[in-house]
Amino acid sequence: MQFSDDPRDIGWVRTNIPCQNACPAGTNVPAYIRSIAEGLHGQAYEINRESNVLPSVLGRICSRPCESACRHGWPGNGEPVGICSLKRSAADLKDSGHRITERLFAPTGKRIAVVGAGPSGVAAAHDLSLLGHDVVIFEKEEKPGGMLRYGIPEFRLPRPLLDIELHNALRLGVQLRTGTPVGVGKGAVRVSTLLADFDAVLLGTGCMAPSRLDLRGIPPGQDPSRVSQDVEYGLHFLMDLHRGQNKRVGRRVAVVGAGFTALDCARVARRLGGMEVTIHLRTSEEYIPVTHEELFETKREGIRIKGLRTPVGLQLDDNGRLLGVEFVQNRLGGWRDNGRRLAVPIDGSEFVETCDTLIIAIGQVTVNDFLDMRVELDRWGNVRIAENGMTSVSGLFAAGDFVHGASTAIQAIGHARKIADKIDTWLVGRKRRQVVQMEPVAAPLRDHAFDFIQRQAMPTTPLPERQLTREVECGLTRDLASEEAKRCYLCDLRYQINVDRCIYCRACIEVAPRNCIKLISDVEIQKDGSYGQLLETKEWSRVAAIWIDNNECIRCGACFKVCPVACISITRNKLITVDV
Amino acid sequence: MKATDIQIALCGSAGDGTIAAGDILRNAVARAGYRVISFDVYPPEIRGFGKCISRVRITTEQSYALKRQSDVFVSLDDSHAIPHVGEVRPDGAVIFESQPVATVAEGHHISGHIHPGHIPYGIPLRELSEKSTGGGRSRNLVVLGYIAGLLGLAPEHFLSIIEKKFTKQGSEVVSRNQAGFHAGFQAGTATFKLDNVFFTPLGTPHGSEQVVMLSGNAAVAQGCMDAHLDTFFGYPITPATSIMERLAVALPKRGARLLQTEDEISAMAASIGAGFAGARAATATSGPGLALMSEMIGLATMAEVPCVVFVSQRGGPSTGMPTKTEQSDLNAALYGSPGDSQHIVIAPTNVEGCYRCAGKAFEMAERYQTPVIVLLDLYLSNRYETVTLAVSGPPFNLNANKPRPRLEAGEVYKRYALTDDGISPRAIPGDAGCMHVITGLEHNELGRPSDQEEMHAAMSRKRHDKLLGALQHPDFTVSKRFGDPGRVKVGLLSWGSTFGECLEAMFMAQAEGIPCAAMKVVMLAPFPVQPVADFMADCDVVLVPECNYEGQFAHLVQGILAKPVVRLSRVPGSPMPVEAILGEVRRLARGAVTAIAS
Amino acid sequence: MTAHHASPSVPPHRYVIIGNGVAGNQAAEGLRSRDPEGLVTIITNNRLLFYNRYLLPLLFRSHKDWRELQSHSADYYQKHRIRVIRDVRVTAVDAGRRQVMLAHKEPITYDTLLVATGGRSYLPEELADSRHLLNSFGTYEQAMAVKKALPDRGTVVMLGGDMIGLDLARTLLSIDCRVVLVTHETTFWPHQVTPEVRMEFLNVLRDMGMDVIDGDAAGGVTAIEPGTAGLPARRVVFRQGGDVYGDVVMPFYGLVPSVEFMMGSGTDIERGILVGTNLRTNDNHIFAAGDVCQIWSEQEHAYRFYYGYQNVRAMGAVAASNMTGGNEHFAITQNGSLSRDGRGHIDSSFWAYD
Repeated sequence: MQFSDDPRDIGWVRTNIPCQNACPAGTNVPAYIRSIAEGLHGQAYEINRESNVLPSVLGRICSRPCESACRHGWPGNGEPVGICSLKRSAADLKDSGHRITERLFAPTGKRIAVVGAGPSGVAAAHDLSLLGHDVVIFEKEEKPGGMLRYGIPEFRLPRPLLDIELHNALRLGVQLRTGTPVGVGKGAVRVSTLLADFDAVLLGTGCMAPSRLDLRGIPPGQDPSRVSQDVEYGLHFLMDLHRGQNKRVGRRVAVVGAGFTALDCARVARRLGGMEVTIHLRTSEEYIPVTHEELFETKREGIRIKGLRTPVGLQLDDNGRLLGVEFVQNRLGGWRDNGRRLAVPIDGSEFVETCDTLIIAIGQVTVNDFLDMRVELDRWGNVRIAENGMTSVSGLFAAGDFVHGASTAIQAIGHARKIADKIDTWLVGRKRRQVVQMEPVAAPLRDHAFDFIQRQAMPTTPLPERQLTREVECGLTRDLASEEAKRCYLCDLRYQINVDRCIYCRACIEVAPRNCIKLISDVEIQKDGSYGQLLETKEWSRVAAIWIDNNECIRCGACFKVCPVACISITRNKLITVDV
Repeated sequence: MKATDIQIALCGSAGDGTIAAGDILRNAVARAGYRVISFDVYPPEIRGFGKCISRVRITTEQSYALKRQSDVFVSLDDSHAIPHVGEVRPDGAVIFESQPVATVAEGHHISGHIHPGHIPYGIPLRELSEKSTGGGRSRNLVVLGYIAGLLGLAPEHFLSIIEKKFTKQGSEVVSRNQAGFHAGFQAGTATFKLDNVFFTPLGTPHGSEQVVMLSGNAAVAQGCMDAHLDTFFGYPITPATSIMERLAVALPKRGARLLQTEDEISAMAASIGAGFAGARAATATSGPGLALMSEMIGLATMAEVPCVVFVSQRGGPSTGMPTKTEQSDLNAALYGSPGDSQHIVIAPTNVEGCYRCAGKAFEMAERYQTPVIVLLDLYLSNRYETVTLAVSGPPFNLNANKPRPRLEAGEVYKRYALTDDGISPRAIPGDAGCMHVITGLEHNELGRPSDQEEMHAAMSRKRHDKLLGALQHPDFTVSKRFGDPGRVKVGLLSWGSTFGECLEAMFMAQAEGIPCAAMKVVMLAPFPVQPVADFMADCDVVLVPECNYEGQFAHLVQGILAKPVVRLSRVPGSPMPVEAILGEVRRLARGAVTAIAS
Repeated sequence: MTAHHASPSVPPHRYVIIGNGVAGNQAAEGLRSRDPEGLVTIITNNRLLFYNRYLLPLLFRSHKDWRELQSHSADYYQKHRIRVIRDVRVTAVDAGRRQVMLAHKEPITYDTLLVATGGRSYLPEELADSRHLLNSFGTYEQAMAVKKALPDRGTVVMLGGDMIGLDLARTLLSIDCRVVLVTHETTFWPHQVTPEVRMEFLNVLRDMGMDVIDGDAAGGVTAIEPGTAGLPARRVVFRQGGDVYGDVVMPFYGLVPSVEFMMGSGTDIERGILVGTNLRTNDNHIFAAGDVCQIWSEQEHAYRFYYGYQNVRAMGAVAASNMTGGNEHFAITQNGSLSRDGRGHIDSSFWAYD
């Protein structure tokens, strides 16, 4: 085992493991998938838990930025590995007596208050308690989990699983005070009080207000559900449902919005008896930020999707009951910062879609009115934090959606981890840095035949049995998980040719399944000291080395097996954080 | 039902297994009972990325040449295949790689070059190979399987040929290649067939003959073996080497001997020595080797010692083009030896002819006590054809040509006795009372040196006249006419390997309504004057296509018959293109009268 | 020495057309005549040259070879210098570099691109698992597969029953096959019919000898299963219970545009590629025509699909004109309505081609 802080090695890990790089929490994906391939689901679960304390939850509802980045999904390589399903299988298939491992630090005597028991608050509380701090979470709802519990339908995330993982995250002595709002209202704990009582305060209250939709005839800022009982914000619809209220929808349901919440609302509405459920998009399917699988299941449940329309008004009868929604036709406009498109309404193109229920799920925003002090905000109204994670108020930190605006659970968790580290540094002065751990591997861990395994489809509940709380995705079986795990290229494996021992026989080039082994004259070194472009050459006299292009390499091991002089080495690379 | 006539061309880069695939294909279809003619083109370099093409024509009845256009064309390497895509006939199939390893520069994938009239079949050959065998190197087997599946050929012959071919490399290699074939076969079967390439089922074969697949050189070796060759001396040279290689394996098994000598002079000398000693002896070489042998051939002519020289021609002069075909050693074979040194020169026109000529050459050499040169060329040496062999055994006379003189008591043995047919009694060392001298000097009937004017004249006449018997040699086709009987517009007069292309061109011309005929001349010395003269008298115009620059055969014909012929002398380094002959036939048919008049 | 300079010539314009159907071929013809020097390339995943898909039902009446369906001979393409790259798949369009990326990793550079990939048969997502038990009818090869699977006087179950399917259905009835129609909202697609007209023409279909099953009443189709021994090869199961057997089951739920490869190119897409009546997309170098494009309708204030041979052919002509500097606008040439022919059988303007 070797350790390196050479920028070339660190650069290699950062660019060559696309999934880990894409994961906001930095989950070591190849390592846990390898463990699953070896049948070690418990070990896989633990590797996940190092970066994300809720693997079972995220294995179900994650937005999967890793899969979009997966090398197996690059052009010509097929479909990405089912990383998320594998995460879930690690949690589902681990031994019933599985023991969690935690690396505990000595108590520091510092006390930290965390506001909000959503994904960011729980993740930060967990990490801070590991680091030896005493943590108290304040949560205004009756149960912890935040949007995970109150926003996501049970058919996507069964509550018993959520309860177990939240409990595991907080059992190291984190005090959880539910039903305890923080704010300025009656019976609420003031933030200034917390700042006085604790060494640090972390705000992780997320985005708990729906983005407003201006509709003709409704005063700006007014909740349209007060105009008609048939119109509601999706966030309220879901939260009420999960607080235990009976919700009803009409026969024809229109959902406006393009995210997971919109899809969730539509699917709940379908389960509540909506016969014709339609999701209306401002842009088009190409640009909506949900996974393929989720979109497919939504359509499979009979929900229709229509694009290029923005709701502009309601058609109500005299009793305030909804007759239809007036839309305006859009065309696609320019690009937004996040890679999505703008929708530009076309004048005079209004039309009406008749419907009985309208659910508005066009996004969520932060709420700041609970703060009893001036905190600097950015132009979107989100709290601004400095490099050390602190807001403009000393000792007051913030993490997750409360900082970034509405995003995803994994982003909140990833961000909370970083902020927890920064709070720790601020409180007790510990510093950390990253190094690469390089472990020699004796033989390729894969076979070329693995490359032809198709992505394993997630087994799902048959359509007629899809009720409100019945989980739709059934999870991969042990066999399916094992097959899917084999598909992973194990991008943490680094193949290198020892130029001093290479005899330039080109046997490796002849067996290469891709254009992955190259004759090069030189390698570019980038500004940060990492390797850049390979300078290929066709002239034998200019060949300086035969080089494995790890960007093209699919880790099939064919070159390793064929090399007559064993000059190809394989190492397993892992970015680890060490205390300075 | 229409007879089968399908030509499949495989094109790839060295290392793609193109030639190996062609070999499996031709053997498998031959085993299935089809007739085959096949020729491979490959680069001279042993390593590297040169172009390889294997063309296989599969027919119900034996055909004589490759077709101008293939019915199925396979690209295993687009950079080599793109220039050849025009060789596919309309409605023919072009099979290519749809999943290449590396990115392809614009315009360098064959899909953009396929003519509108072709049917493209883009197949993930590499992927199928990788999935079935774990590696991408069995693409050639995958494509064979694909062809078999698409065209409805039964896989069993392919599988047994694959087993035979790879069995030395172990059962794992066999099963891997068979798996590749299977993967392709399944893909081929699953493909909806759009081209109109059809195999028609075969009738049951005749029991009295067996069909084997041989290359020209293999047929020569087989002919030698069936004629009970005793000794072979040789020095390797492309494209004759494989004759020696095959005999080196086969001869010792029968207790016969093969010796690789230090050069061609020695090989020829040793052959003459063996012939003198009564053994059947042969050597094989190409143009440059023939040059070295020419003095020794003169010795055999003068001493009247039987021996056989197989000469496979290649591009010349000098080292020339060792891996390209040509017919430019005719003059050297006929006239290469100094002095009035006529000997027998025969040139087979197809692989079966190689077999027959090889066997018959020994009969003639012994019967007429003279060297016999059998002229092949690279195209004929290396091309494969199905050859029909009589089950009843080799058609060669093994003993009749070793007449032992019967000596009366007190009679003096005259080794070079002047007889009516010019053939003297031949004895071999050790025959009682037949002690005699052989020498390169002119000699009298006893073999003693003599430079008497009358004796030299008599002996010269004898050495020439005795050869005329060869024109009537039993069971040997000296020349043969094909095509329309009687008067024709165009006659094709041809020799050696080019005759197949002539015949193909003649059939196409006939199909176009041009009255024409073709004659092959197998025996070039002595020359069959009468049949050729008769043929030429029937033709408005005679076209002589041959693969040399000087028109050596046309010279020969014109010199002997003093009649005009139209020459089609080309040196493409490859077989004479059928369309070149056909184009000339068309031109001559249009203006036949003018051609004669000029 | 003074070099002789030829007048600096403009390199020929590279027109690339993705799609080998009515629109693509009409456009190719127009491009050739308007720009004799231009390089015209058609890219298609089909093995065959352009053939008339409207003739596919005839395959069931007589033994037709695909050559008889071809609209142009191979010589036509040679003569007009229209290059057709067949049996290749387009994976992406790189609008920045102006290149079409093919699955075999070859880029094809264009100066002007026409997307004319048409539509493919839509299969509702809930039937996705049954796809392998269904027979499509989009290509010659698929039509021949149906013909092979269908015994003499066999039964075809048609799901949906768009006008493409009903065209086949009337042919099948004429050769004494049984046709079972399971209705769906896409029955009579692309005609948009009122409930009254729908009822009327369902009765016409019954009169013609078709078995009509009310799909909505049956709760819709939930699954297709292989038939058991002794019964026809396929079983169609309804949500409310009940089933129907057939030798072949064919989905005819209308078409969805084939646009996946355009995703990420920056070209505006809703369901189809969004264009104005001049068939220009939001990218100056990319046009779209045929069943793949959604055309802005000034009257209806909406993006609309226009189906039918004549409409699509007109789009091909407009695209060719505008790709070569013209400024023409597509106007609907064919208005769809259901009617009855002399025998009282169903007829449709969508069945007209020439």
